[in-house]
Amino acid sequence: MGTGECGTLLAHELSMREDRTFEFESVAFPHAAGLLRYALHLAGEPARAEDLVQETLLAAWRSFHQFERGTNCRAWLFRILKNLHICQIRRNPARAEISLEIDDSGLSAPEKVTAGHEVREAFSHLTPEHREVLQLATLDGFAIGEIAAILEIPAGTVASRLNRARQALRSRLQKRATAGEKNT
Amino acid sequence: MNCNQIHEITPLYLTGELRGEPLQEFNGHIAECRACADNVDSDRQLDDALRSALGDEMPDASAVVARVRQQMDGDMRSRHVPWRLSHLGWAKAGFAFAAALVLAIATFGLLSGYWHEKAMALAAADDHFSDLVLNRHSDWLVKPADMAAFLQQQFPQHAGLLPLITPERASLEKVRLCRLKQATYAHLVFKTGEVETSVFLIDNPRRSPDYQAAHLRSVEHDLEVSGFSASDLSGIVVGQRGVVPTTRIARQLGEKLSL
Ligand SMILES: [Zn+2]
Repeated sequence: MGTGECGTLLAHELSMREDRTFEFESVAFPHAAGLLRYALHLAGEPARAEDLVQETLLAAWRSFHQFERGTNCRAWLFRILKNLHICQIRRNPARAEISLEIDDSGLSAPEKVTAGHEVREAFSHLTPEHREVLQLATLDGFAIGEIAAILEIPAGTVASRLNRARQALRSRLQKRATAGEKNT
Repeated sequence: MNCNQIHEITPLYLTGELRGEPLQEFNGHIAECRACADNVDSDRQLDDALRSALGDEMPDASAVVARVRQQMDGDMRSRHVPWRLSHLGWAKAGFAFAAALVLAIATFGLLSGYWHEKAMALAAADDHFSDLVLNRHSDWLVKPADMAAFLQQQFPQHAGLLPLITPERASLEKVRLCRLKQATYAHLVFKTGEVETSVFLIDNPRRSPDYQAAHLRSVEHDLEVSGFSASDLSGIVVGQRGVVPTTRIARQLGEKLSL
């Protein structure tokens, strides 16, 4: 991108905006649910997660004229969300300490014993960093390079963190399985 | 490739990013090595289990989207408002920022003569937000040698500039050229731990913006901006309010560069 774009968020033809609105809605809104899931992971509380997504989409919309067509909109949105979240954490460090336990209260008894539940439970006990890379890679389907860009860390770090995250998840599940066998 | 190397690149294999020769080597290895093949299988099964346990749980974002649409409509309707205010970029902060600037200017008794400085401060804050929060640019120089060459090229008459413009306990992270209000500035980003501070630096042009260490701040977006002027360089410091002491940094840089 040329230097001319810098600092010119403001100088933009108004007539172009309607078209861009439509374009923005069609490229950005489909990612809202994915963004919300990531925000829930980062922020914990649903209300804060929704605010974070709202802030992200508005920030993206207001600088959408700087967005280069053909580049990865979804990764761009996730990166904005991550950065806004970091800004909030710096502003209010207490927010960093959020419990991310999965709420099981809505599940009926039989569902609680399914394998899916065990995986969810084991996942919820991973460190935030491990959950984050697994979520981005496995659930959101981002490439290692995209995750590196979202988190602003080297791709090698993403790969080794993923390896450690999978290892941690596996050993949690194995421990649970062994404990289960002993109990029966 | 040995087993350790296979382990290291398994994540790339699982995301389908291995191609060409590395992919051939990878496939060749796991065809021969039972242990690695088992590990890859186990990772793949784990991912599948995770996807089926959590993948369907897509939260409902329709309420958020509706709110965003409403605010976008509000943006569009308010476009008769002078564009500098209505398009400030970062939401409600725009008005608050402008208001805070007006307040700051009034407070400092700088009712005339600082229009230019205010515009530059706004542009600098805008650029800092655009670069560091939205990550809009990819043309940063990040290698120390490249950054040194950049400084040498932009400020040829200032040998040994880097230590003079580096805030205390910070290190230079990346640099690029940018334009703020028709003027070309060097945008230097310094890092102290996780915290980023922008320093926009320019050779004093003939119509030198004589920055005071006035402290302007964006109330809602939590950015603050301070300027400094030395004998032949001027600069603007931008950082997160309450995290980056821009006034102190600007004063110190101004003093160091004036010596
Ligand atoms: Zn092997």
